[in-house]
Amino acid sequence: MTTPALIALVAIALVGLASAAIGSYGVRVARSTSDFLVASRTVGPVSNASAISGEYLSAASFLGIAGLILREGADALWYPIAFVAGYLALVLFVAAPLRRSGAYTVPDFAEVRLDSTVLRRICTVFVLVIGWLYLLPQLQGAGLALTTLTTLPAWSGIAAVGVIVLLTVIGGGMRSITFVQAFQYWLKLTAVAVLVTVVLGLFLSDARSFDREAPPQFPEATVVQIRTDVVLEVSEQVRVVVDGEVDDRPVHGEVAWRPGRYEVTSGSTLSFAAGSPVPTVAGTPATDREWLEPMSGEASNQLLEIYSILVAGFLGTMGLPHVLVRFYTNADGRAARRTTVVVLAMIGSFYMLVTLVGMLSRLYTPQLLVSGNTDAAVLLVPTGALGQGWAGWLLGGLAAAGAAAAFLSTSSGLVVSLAGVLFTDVFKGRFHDFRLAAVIATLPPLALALAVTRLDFALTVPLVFAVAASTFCPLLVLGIWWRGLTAKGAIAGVLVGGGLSGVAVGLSLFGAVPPGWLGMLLYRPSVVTVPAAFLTMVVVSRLTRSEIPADVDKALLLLHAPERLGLSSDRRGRPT
Amino acid sequence: MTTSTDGAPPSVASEHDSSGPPAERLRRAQREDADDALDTNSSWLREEIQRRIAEGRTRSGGRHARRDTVTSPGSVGYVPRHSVATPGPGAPRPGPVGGSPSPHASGLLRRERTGAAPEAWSGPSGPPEENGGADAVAQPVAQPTAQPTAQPTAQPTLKPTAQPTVASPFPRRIPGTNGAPPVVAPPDRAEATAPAAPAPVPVVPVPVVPVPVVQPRPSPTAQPAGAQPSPSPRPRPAAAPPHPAAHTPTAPSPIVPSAPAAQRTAGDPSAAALADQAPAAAVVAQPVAPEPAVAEPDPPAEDADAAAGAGTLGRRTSDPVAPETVPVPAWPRPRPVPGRATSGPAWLGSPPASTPAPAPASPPARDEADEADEADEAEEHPPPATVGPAVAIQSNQATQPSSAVVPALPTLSDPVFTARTPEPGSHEREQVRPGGVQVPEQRGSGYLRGGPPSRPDEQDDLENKRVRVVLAERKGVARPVRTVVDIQEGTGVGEFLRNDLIKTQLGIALWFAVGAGLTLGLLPLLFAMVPEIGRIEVLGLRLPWLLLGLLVYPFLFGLGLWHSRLAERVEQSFADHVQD
Repeated sequence: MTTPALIALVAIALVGLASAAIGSYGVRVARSTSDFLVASRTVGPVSNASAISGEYLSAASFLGIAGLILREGADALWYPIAFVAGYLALVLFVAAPLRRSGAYTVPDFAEVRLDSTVLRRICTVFVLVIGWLYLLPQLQGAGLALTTLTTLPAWSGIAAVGVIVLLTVIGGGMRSITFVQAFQYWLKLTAVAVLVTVVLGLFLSDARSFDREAPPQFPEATVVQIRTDVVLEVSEQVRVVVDGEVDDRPVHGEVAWRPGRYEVTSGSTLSFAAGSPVPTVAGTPATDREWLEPMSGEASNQLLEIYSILVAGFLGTMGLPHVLVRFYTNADGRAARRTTVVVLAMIGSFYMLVTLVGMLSRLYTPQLLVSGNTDAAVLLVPTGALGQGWAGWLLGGLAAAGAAAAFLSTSSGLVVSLAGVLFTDVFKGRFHDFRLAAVIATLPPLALALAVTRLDFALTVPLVFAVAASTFCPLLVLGIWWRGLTAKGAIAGVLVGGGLSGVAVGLSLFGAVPPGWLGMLLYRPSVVTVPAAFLTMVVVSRLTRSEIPADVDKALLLLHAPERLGLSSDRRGRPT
Repeated sequence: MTTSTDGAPPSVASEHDSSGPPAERLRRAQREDADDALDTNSSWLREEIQRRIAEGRTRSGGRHARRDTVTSPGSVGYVPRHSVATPGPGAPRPGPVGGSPSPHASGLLRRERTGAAPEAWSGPSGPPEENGGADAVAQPVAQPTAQPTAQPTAQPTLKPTAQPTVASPFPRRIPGTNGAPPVVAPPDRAEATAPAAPAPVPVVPVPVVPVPVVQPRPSPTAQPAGAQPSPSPRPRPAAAPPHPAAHTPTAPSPIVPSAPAAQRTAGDPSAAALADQAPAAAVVAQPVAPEPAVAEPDPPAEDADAAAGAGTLGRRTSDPVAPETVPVPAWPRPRPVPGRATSGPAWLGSPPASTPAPAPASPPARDEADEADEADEAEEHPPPATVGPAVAIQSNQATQPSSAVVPALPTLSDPVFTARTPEPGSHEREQVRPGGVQVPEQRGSGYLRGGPPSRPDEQDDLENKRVRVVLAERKGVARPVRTVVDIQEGTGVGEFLRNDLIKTQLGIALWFAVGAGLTLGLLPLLFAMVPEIGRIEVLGLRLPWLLLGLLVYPFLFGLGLWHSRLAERVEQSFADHVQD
């Protein structure tokens, strides 16, 4: 094993150890069930915001955003904006009322607000679907990181993350998770900030520019391993040594690629000389100038994609189970709102830094454009910029630590919230051990992650957001603000939104997706499914107007009246 | 729900306020401890806390001499009670407790509530019967002694009931009022009734009596908080002297009630007798009769003090804690005695008698707190009744020791009943006093024990005071509760406020969402329609990168911050509207 691989492994192990240590410290503090599940609602706004940010900034954010920007350019800037804007929607519509509802999960909220067991069960199903869908890329991201850094097989990284997460969750519950995740947020921010500082310094002293009517260039002789079939687009003639299959024909030796498209089969190896132009994956901006300017693709599809991402991020964040649970650890509705504002600042600053990393990675890790494995950008930028040496290796170790913190925090947050739902809804009365629920919550996505080939974060994460936005967002927003919502309307809306987005997820993950706007809609369904869910919910509620809960006014008052009036359900004990 | 409880504090504050003046008096005459408790009027919460703390102090401190013996037990028991009863429940609980019918149950409840207290109480209660716990004895001592003496004299029904009621009421009332204040109040009340006695003691019983009576009434309301201290002013003068004496016997009448007791005990020798007489005079009318009775009682009182000191004390403690339990044992005891046997029935009857007494008491309460719910009053009244039984028991017990007294007791009790009945009806003690003429004997007996004679009056006063306290609480709380309830119940105003809140919040949220959505949503369109924008460089950065990579985050953060402030302001004004 090489030195940089060892350094990266040590860094990841250190993160795991630190998390476990902080988690066990939290265990000592945790004394009650309330401590375990909701941290006794005594977490301050800043530490709670750190924990929320740490939980939210997943591998998809730490690795995926930079990779997207590396590949897509200006158009990828909308992804982090959508992810941050989701918290604005939380502040505006959900944070304080949800906290005041006393609901711990969306199923809780559904029951509190509409008193429907059926709706609660449906919501439970969707919580599990969303949670598992979201855990999948996290676990696979861990595999990617380990493979990229150490050449260990991907399954080892997936299994390792699964075990560490389980240990953390089982050890301390929410309280320790709070401290662990707050720590992990700052670790991630530190890693990215150091990375940006170093690389930006290099870039500024370099006087290189992106504004070139040409593809990026390999800064040095590079060998690219193609791990998945890829179609490359060559815009400038390039000489390449191929060992594998190109366009279904075995090729061995140096060839000259003229501008055009070449399909390279997985397992091939491409060798480029220093200074040669970089072929890019088809469908992405080929030249730096295209990359630098927005709307690089076909305008209508591009707009559709951007709006869909904005809708999914803006409205989907509030439906993520691990995000909702976090709000319950606030002291009151006011604190929940303030916490969310702090989160806006925290993740905003993180995404600014990550955007810079992605931008600079275009210069230092162009080989990822060839392999299509752009999600590894953050991990490889250090050695790409500083070269093979201790400086680069150490910086790479820091980046690896940040990545480890990313999957650990999001995964453990998801596991805690899923285990909470399993424990209270699915296994009610059958199991008395929260830890068993945690294990059960982890196993399905772990198995799936080991069995399925990895997909881009850019593909999977927006799909998860789309499902959340199509199901829970209408339920939460209408439930909090519209007294006319009925249980039947909510059920219909959730089923319609969830069904449509579920079909899109299934087709885009496992089926063939037609080209054009229809394919784009399947990849980014939220622009259709969210309005459909809202509309269904409103229409069906209107039709079943007579079933509006009798105590709707009291319920709404509970959600909106400040705690100081003493109406909060906290004082009456949780409904569940 | 909670709000109502929360609201209670204000009422408490009012009580304090009322107590304020008394507090001053108390301060002058009494000890610093009480002052401290009283002084802290700043916030009701503080007051409450201090009260509770002060209760312990006052009880112990106010009656320092008494403390020695009584303090620990009495204070302990009282504190829990107060804490428990202090808020809203305090008033009602006394009521149920007072409810002669189910005293036991109430006692059990109290014990549960008090928690630690129960032990002390139970201990005392047991001892009283058996002449148990010294601690219990200490508190009870003064009262018990007085009671016992009184009982012997024949106060069985009236005095006993009165005393018991007084004694138990104090604790109960005290809790109800607020820990410390209640304690004080009880003394005041007790003193008020009894005070009359003390006051009379120094001066001339008869003339003085009326004055004290009058004072007691006002004092109860005002003094509740400072009541304990206040006892010193009115009763204390009398009581203070008695206390020493009382202290020596069973000494530290643990609580205010004990103070009266102490007075009574103190009165044992001479002052006690005077006091007793005085109260009797004050309470009843000016009938001199009490004096004779008192004179007789005096010796017995002393005897009782000495002999029954522990037992009576225990009884008293038991009364406050678990009057019911005490009564039970007490009943048997009275029965054994010949006179008691009669008295026993009398006791049985006595509760009713006591009940009437409460009724009279209630009117005064109404006076002070007209608005107070009748039910509350009723509740309060019942407690006295229960107390009455307990007292009776005590007295019975006391009588037991002095069997000679017993015979008189029945007769006395009978008159007492009659006397009391009139009292309640008329409120006017004078009228009652006619009955009281007979009563004097009873009173005399009560006087013998120091507190007892005054107790009948005290009971009334106490009841009144109790009522007042409760009323005060409700008054303070009422407004907030109503508005909050309005909102919850969806009455016109409430619905308007609620809908206004939700609409305002939704409007703000939508406004911000539309603002953010338009800003972010138009940018892609703009970039698509006017590609040149994507080529503009600002500060060395392409405009899209500058906007989307950097500036958008502060923009979103600013929106969030702005919105959260607006929303908080809306909530604030809503809450202000509702709570005003």
